[in-house]
Amino acid sequence: MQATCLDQCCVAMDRSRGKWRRSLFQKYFAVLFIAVGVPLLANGLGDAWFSYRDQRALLNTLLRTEAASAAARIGSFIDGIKDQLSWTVRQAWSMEAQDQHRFDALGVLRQVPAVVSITLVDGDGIERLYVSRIDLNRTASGVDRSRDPAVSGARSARVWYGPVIYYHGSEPYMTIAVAGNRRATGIAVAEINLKLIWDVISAIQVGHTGHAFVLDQPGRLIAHPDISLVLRGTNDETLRAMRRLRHEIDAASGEAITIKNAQGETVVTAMAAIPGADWMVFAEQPLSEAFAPIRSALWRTGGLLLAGTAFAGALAYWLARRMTGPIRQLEEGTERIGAGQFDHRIKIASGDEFERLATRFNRMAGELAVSQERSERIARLKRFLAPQVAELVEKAGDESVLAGQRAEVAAVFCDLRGFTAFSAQSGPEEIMQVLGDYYEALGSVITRFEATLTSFSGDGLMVLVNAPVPCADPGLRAVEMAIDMQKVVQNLIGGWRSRGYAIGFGVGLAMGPATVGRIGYESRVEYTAIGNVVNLASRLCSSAENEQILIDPALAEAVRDKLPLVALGTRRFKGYDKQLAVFSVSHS
Amino acid sequence: MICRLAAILRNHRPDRPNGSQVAGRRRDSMRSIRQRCLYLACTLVVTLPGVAAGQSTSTSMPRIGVLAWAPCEEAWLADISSPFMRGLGELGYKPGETVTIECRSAGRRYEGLATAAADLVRLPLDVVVGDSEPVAHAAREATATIPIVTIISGDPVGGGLAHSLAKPGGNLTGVTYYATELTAKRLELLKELLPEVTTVGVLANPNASYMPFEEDTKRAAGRLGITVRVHQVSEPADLKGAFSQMKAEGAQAVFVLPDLMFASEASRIADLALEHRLPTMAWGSWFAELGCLMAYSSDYGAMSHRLAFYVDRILKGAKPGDLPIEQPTTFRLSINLKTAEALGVDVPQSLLLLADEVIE
Repeated sequence: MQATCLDQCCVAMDRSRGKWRRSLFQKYFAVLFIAVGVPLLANGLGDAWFSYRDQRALLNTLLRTEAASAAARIGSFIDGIKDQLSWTVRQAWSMEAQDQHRFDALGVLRQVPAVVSITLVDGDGIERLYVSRIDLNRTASGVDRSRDPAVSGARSARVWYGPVIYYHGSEPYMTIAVAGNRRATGIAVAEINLKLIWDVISAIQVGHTGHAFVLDQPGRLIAHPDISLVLRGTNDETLRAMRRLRHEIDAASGEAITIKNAQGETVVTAMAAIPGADWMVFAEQPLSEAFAPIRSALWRTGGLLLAGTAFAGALAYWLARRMTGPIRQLEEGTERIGAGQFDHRIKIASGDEFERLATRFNRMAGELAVSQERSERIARLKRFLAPQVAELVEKAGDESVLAGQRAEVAAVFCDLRGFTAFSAQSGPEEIMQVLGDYYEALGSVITRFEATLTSFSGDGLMVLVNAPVPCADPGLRAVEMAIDMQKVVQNLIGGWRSRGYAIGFGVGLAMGPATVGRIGYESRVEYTAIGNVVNLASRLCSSAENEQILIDPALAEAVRDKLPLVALGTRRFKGYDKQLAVFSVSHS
Repeated sequence: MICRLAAILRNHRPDRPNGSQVAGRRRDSMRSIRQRCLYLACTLVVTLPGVAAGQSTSTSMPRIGVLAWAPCEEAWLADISSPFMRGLGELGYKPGETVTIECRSAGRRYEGLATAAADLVRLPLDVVVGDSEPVAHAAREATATIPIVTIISGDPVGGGLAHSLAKPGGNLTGVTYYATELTAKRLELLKELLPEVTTVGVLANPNASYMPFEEDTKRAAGRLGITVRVHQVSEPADLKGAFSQMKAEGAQAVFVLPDLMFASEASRIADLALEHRLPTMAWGSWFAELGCLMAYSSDYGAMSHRLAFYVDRILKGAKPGDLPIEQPTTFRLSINLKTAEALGVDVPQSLLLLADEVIE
């Protein structure tokens, strides 16, 4: 029942620990990941946004520049024609100048392929010359052209640009009129084939696939790289779309705008005005191409972000592992040390607080091991020390009291008479019963007298008094203990005899200096006394008869006044040269 | 190959239409029949790799059909160095490699046009290319489905070839030139060259009489104070007689009306004119190059070069009816000063000023 509960507790503990470990790892991972990833992300997004804005501004500038440059080129195309025409209005009209005017006009036709015809009008607005590539020329037709809008327009503004006219609803033409610096030089009115702007407009490339096109004031297409669009004429729908385009760019205060063009393609378009003719040039670039740098920048940022995030993830994982790894090691170490494996050491070499903590743990485990060893030793000592002595040793915290020393001790030996014969004829149960009763009786006496049982073997045992714990009047105490021993054992003997066991009990005591201390090895340690006094006590015990307590002269001297003694004369003992006086203690 | 290259070097200039080649060939008419056959065999193998390759190459390769007046090996449009072919090359087409050229010839006969056109449209073609009004009509009659790209002499709307210039609508498109409008202009230029001229002999081909050239000429002559006498010539052999007759009638100059036969007989006309000491005003610049005194027309080289643009658009999926018919933007006045000197004609400064090409 208890074991089951323990098991459950352990499982519960394991479970909670597992959860705790995971969540700690997750927390560390999340925090570290956010710490690296969020700034990275913020930086990347910021970067992308700003690069988008920069690119957009750049694109706007680029397209506006393209539009302006296209406008300038078309403007210079028109200006070129105007400049060539101005050659025909240098001289005043007179009979002599007639041929010169004609040559000038023919020269312009030769020089400018876009000019289809030239009409020269004198200062009064009378037509003087008409030269054409297609129609028959006229000389001095005398037709009054002063009411022509071209003539009156040029007269008031020096240069007059007519509206765009679509010949046969297809080819764009316009009229340009140029006046000389004096009224007398007259006015040149030229018909221009605007299809030749194609050479200019098709040479303008915006980016790789972008282009420019030109609209007149009402919004009709004048020039486009795809000449077919111009020649097909501008229908109402296209016209509205073109006007809307112009309106939207105006609304965006001239900035480039994104719009769907006539071909249904999404383009970025900017606009510029051509001075004089009152036309508009539009530079457009497909959105996909215009935004290609932005897109590639975004891809680049995305790639960097991805790489950065992966790096942040790896770093966070590594750091979190580095944090939770030692914690787990510590946890495991604690568990093992708790389970009694004091030799277990936690190996952490992180060089930080964790390593310090592990070192502390290891030191603690060492101390625990030492302390456990000590308590084990004390427990061992208790077996042959009187409880008081054991307590003393325990209290002292060490076994210094058991260290080898010279001390005045009283050695007490006792054994049973006739035990060998009894044991030879009795069963094991009887023998163990007898010995059990015997030791129980003697043990209580030895404990009562706080004596030290040093050894026992079969029926014989040795007890020391005044070592390792000194006591007052050790001689008397030893003898009194011997008397009590005789008393309790004789009680037993009475019982044994009734059962037919011929067993007696004798005690021998001697007092004198002896070397006392601990002997033995590793786990087998005993406390004993070595010296003449031990041998003597043993010899005395051997010579004692049943019920007899024999003591040596030194002890006899010590207790002479307190107990009745009987001198038994001298006896020779094995190992002793001289005969020794032996005394018997009277008891009972 | 070598023989063809030599022929090109001798006869051909890039912007010269078929007439020049034909004339060139005529000029060398003294050559033996054997030489001629060798030459033909040579050109057949070399100039028209598309024809040879046409049978073996895959159908995915675009096929262009050329309807020619002159024999195919001499056809102006099918020649690898013609402005049209150059235009195709500029647009990335390589005849025989990325595009197949098929050619059918009328054999220099109006009657042959219909047959050649019918022959041509039987092939699986993507587009038919022609270089003149009669060719356009023949092609148009032969097919109403295969796109036709051509040079149109007159008014394509009036001639029933297109609904309008902006949106032709049918299967024909191309470049038009002011053939009829320029008739009066040519006569005016002739008058400017020869201010004293009063009688002009006109060479006309009855096969081209559906075009209003004769009426235009007569109207302009009236305005310019010139008397014109029209001579109908439908066979090259009749040219000599016509010139003799004009001289006998007291014509001071010859006015050549646009016609395919005259175009290919330009060299003979020039020779006859010189022989009869008659200043000649013609149209295509090659007339002047071959010895006629003067020629004025839209730039044929530029126009045939432009045809490549239309072919490209059609091969890329555009409908011919959606491709506006363009009008010419460049005109060429060519004057042969050698002929002028031979005839004792003084070319006025104003004309020299206007001339785009002066042959000295």
